[in-house]
Amino acid sequence: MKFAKYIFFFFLGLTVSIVVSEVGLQFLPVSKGFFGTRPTKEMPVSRFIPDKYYTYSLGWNFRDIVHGKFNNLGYISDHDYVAKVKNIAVIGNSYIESRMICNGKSISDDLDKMMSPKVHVYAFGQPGANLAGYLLAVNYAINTFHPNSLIILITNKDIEKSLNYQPWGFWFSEKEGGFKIESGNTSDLPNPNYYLRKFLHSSSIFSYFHNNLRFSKELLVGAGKMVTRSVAQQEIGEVVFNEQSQRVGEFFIKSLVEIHHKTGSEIILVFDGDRKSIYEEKAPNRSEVDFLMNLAKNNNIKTIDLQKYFELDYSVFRKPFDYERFDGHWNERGHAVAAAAIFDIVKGL
Amino acid sequence: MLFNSYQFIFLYLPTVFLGFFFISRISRHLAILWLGAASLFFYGWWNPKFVLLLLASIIFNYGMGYAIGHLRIVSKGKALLTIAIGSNLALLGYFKYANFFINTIDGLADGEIPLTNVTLPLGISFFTFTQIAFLVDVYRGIAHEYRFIHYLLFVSYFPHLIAGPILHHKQIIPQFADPVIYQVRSENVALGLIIFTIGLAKKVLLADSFAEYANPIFDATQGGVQPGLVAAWTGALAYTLQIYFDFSGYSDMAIGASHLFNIEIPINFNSPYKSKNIIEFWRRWHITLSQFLKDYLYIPLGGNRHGKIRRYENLIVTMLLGGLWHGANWTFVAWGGLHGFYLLINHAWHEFRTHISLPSKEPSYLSTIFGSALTFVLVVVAWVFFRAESFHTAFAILKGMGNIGEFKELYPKTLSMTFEGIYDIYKVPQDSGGYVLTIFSFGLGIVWLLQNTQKLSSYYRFSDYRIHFFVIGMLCFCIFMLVTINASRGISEFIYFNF
Repeated sequence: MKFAKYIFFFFLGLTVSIVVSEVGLQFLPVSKGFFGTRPTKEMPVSRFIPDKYYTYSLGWNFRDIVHGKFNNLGYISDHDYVAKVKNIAVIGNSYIESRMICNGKSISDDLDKMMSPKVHVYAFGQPGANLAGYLLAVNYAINTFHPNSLIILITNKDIEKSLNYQPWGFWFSEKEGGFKIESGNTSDLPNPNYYLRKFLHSSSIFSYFHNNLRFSKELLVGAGKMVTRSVAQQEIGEVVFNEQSQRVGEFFIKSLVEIHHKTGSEIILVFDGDRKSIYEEKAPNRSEVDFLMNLAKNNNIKTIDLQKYFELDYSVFRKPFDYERFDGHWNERGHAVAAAAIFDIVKGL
Repeated sequence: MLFNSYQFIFLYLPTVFLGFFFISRISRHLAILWLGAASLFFYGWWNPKFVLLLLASIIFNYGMGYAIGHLRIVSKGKALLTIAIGSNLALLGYFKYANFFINTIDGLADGEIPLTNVTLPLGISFFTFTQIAFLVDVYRGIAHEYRFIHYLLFVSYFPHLIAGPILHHKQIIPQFADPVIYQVRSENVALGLIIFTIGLAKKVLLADSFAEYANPIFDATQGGVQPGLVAAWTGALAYTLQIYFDFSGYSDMAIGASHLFNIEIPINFNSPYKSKNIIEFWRRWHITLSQFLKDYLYIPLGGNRHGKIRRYENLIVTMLLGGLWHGANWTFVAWGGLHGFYLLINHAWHEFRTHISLPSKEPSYLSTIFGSALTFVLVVVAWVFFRAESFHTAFAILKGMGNIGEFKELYPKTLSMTFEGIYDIYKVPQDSGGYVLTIFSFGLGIVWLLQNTQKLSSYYRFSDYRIHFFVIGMLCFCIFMLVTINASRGISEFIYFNF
């Protein structure tokens, strides 16, 4: 009986501390609100719930706080997207989503300021996306907004990731000598965990562990080791590039060429630079990116290599473009340099 | 295994705790054996081969202690003591100082003696000093004859093994014979977890945060960057706070973990940055090392028994060797020498006051503040040598700290502009000066204004087991949160693991 009392009071203490933490964190800028909607037939791309507010902060001590609102389509942008307006679509992954950049200072917002009111810029940033996700976004943007130009940002490991299963996104599987886009998250019906996930995402303590502390199985297992972990850092490492990577790259470029011929929309591929090599004054190491860039050039697709723009800016100002020491996403400077580089090409529109 | 890892907190510690009290019901000797074996496992987690070294050292010293204690002839006892201490110092010298001496000789003679490929066994300075104290006390007739298993546990006891506190056999071994320690006491578990959590919070929330400022600035200076006034003071102050929170956090965690087993280990810190002078600082900082150096080095050297000049000589020698104990680098010796010099001035000042018959009244509020501020600044300056990897780095930081002329340039700048330079050059986190000022004010506020861990934990005086279990439940969640915060940015070692 006494043992049961021990257990009872132990769990009472545990529960009270969790509840107190939950209440306390409700008043603090926990990174929260990034709850995605599932892709549908009408809108087969990754996005967040439209018109909802979010807060981004970094680490246990809530650094770099950004408050914002998803626009009418569930993307991070300081303006809503409407059809029947001359526009440019900017497509990419978390670099384009740019949740850590204040509204109005991301690449698409910078470009929008440069181009408006003549042309508007619509960003379709899908966190964790790869070539498969970009292709879906290209199709969606063309069908819905008929953009004059489509700008697609290619980052390191995009090909590699597009060949691997993505639980919340898209990837390519080989089918009948070609490639087919698969989705880890397609159904019009909520999945069995939908309400649980929704509940957890509304909890500040869960969001704190999940978003601020990036608590995961890997973190738990690797916690005894001397590790420096961050999501974007993992993307900087060595790339797996093989014969299948080449074929999926060729498939991607071929698909873009077909889209261009079919719709007339101009397609521009923008390639991220190897920024580490710039700081360390070494030769860039990006076999995957170089392969895709050469392929695009050979197929008469316009390309922008950000490597030289970053190199030039760094040689003058000596200021880095990374959001954090261990996070390879661009900071505001990185976004501004990229926007200026793209503006050079599209300003004639 | 690090105190701040999931493995230690959620696997190792509960297993050892449950095993100890379960085995205690069967046999106390077996329980001690379990704790000893668990401590050796803890030590072997890094490098199993060094367990053999530790065991060999324990067996050797126990055997020498036994022999010294049983020799009737004093002169032979002294010879054995000399051999035993010499062997311990030789072991320490080989593993810790071999390359240091080779480098020094190379530097002096312009030679090229190849460096040895030696890995420093963790905690070797701590377990060597612990055992030297034991041998000396056996020779002096202070130490009694102990059971080997008790001695083994005393040396290898996991809470103190890697980074102290330096235990004295008189404080610990008698506790192993006390039947009270073999019963689970919920108030000790709750209190132990409170102290452990405070220590973990110091390490995770404070020490590692200040490290994000100290490391880039010292590393960049080592790389050739000359820091300005703001950067140099930011780096030096950040390290001053980092080392305090890191080491006192570790000591708290050791004391807290030991409390779970009803074994009390001595405190190591008593709000050192509140000291009004350097003498007081050394009574509050790394207390167990200061006590060791006093009892086993300063007093045997003659202490203050042979006149003022010898006293000052002994003081300087003790502090120089104390500095060298920390690490195999001349910068540590300089740190020790600087503190020796501070102590010398402080003692001389006291004697001067006595000499001119100044009344020894209570110091005024103003003089207390002045004394505390001066002591703090002197300690900050000395930490620069302790942290710097070379004299070049230390002098570059000190040059930056002394560049008072930069104040004029700071005047028209905003807070952001003031700190802009250090973000661009050193890539320290956050890009607004307000954040830096906030965390530094917070850290300094804690060390100057708040009560220390032992005072805070003394408020826990409940006897109701329901409260103990309630508190344990709450602390388990707090600890989980702290360990996750720690893991989220990469687990960092404790500074004193290097010594």
